[in-house]
Amino acid sequence: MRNTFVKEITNLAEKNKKIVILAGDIGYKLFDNFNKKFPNRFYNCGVAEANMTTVAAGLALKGFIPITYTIATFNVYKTVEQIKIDLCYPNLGSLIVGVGSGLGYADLGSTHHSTEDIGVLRSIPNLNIVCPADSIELKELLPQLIKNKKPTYFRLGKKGEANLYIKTPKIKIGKGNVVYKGSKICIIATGNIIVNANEAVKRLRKNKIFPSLISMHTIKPLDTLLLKKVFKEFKYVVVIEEHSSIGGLSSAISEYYLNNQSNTKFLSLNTGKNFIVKSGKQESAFKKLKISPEGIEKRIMQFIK
Amino acid sequence: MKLKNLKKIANQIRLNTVEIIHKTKTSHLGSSLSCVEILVSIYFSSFGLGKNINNKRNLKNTFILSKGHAAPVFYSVLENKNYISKKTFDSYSKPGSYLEEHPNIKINGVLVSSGSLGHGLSYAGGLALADKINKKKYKHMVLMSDGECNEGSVWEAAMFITGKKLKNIITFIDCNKWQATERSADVLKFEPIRDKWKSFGWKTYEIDGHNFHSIENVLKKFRKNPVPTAVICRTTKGKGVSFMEDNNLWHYRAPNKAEFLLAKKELKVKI
Repeated sequence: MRNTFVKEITNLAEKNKKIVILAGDIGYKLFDNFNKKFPNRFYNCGVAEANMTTVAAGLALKGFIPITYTIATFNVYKTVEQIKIDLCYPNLGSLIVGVGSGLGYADLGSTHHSTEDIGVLRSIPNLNIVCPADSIELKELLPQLIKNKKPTYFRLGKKGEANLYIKTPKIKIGKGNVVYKGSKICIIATGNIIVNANEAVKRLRKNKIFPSLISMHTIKPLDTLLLKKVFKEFKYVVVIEEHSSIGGLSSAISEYYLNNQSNTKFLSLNTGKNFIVKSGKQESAFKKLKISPEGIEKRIMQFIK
Repeated sequence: MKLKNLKKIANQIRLNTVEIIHKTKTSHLGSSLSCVEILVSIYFSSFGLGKNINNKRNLKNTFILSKGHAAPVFYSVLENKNYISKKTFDSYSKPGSYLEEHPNIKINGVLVSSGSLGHGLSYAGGLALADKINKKKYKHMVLMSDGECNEGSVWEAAMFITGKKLKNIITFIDCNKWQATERSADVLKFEPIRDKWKSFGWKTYEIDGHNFHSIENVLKKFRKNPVPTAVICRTTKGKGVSFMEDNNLWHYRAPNKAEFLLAKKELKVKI
């Protein structure tokens, strides 16, 4: 995937003079061609990811589209505050590219695994999270992300991953792609692990079981329209992801499911999903968010009515 | 602008800052008072950043308050320079106001939301890098605190800026000798702070951070030779109000009525 990414971004940078790549001392020789073509738009920022992320914010304030590039684990866990405050709060168009995400570097040990990255990032307002299934989806999504100009975590594999698609399908950010339409069971997967799901589907078919398969490449914002249809139509929903059980796609879908089940009694009181501004002191903030004592009481009364 | 006038503005800003903190019972008065002269120089001196600082529609010269907790004094400067109205200034820390206790990008004249320490210099790095690509020579000024130099990201930024040969960045380090809870020199190995910056490839100065003449002198030199410049400003926390000076109680505490009147009396005399 990383080779496709570099090839595609080099093509895009040809037309779009605002694209600037910041790399965290990774990708030996990978960017040579980009660097040769656009020497003013590639910078190795060293093993200093926090600085790299805020430098990206500075560039974005000046109208550039910065792309920070390094191994997923480093580009998320070391920079989460910079992502939150410097890129997401001002809602600056930028790409945070994490390569070898999930267990892409399984053999390098836990220091190089990023199986909590989506969970870590998903609650940050304004941030989009996109995990292409394969190089074909990546190629379709990348120009849309550049055009979209939102802070986005682009969760990629390493290299040589198998492709899901044979032909290029129509892929749109924010819209899950129905790979096959089946019945009774719907499998929703994100990232390259979907290739495994696809293999499983092939086996199931031999047993006369024909599941649907959806590539949910965009985890945030979640395609709730599609989910609505899925939960209406299917008896079984299976979510597959290369991510911890906490915080990833299955959590995102569970949140949707719980909030939209007419038979499920579920109430969540919290600080909401947006940045909180103009709130005054803590007490006023609680009031505003309806989590003051009165607010809580009122909402529970309404809930049990 | 004449030194006499700069001093006059500084005193007015001090008074406004003490008053707003007294009225709202908010924190960070000591940290606000130690950087008054630095801010006034940047905003009012003829060697400062001039007009339209942080013009978000057409970004040229920028100022970043990296020690975001000095927001009250920053707002006071913005009010004095007509970036925000008196009414907006008076809405500080109230419900419905963007003037929170740390700067918010929604305020006219505020470029970045700071408050978590160690971000400002990296921002300046990004802005200067953009200027380098665009072949522009705008100036970027940053105000940091001594405690802020605890943050690793500060040194990442310091290495990045000189490593990438960026220009037109000057950072003032308000060394008021106190962090939130202890003497800066006791918390971590702070000194020799000037040598640290020097060894990272920065042009350095060590000055009295309350002396307009010294600050202007540095600004003049920076204008002539705009290499990455770190100015170690030796300052006094709570400067200008005798009973607040070098007393870390005023990092968090707000003056009560009697204390405010006393402070007002001292500051009025100086205006």
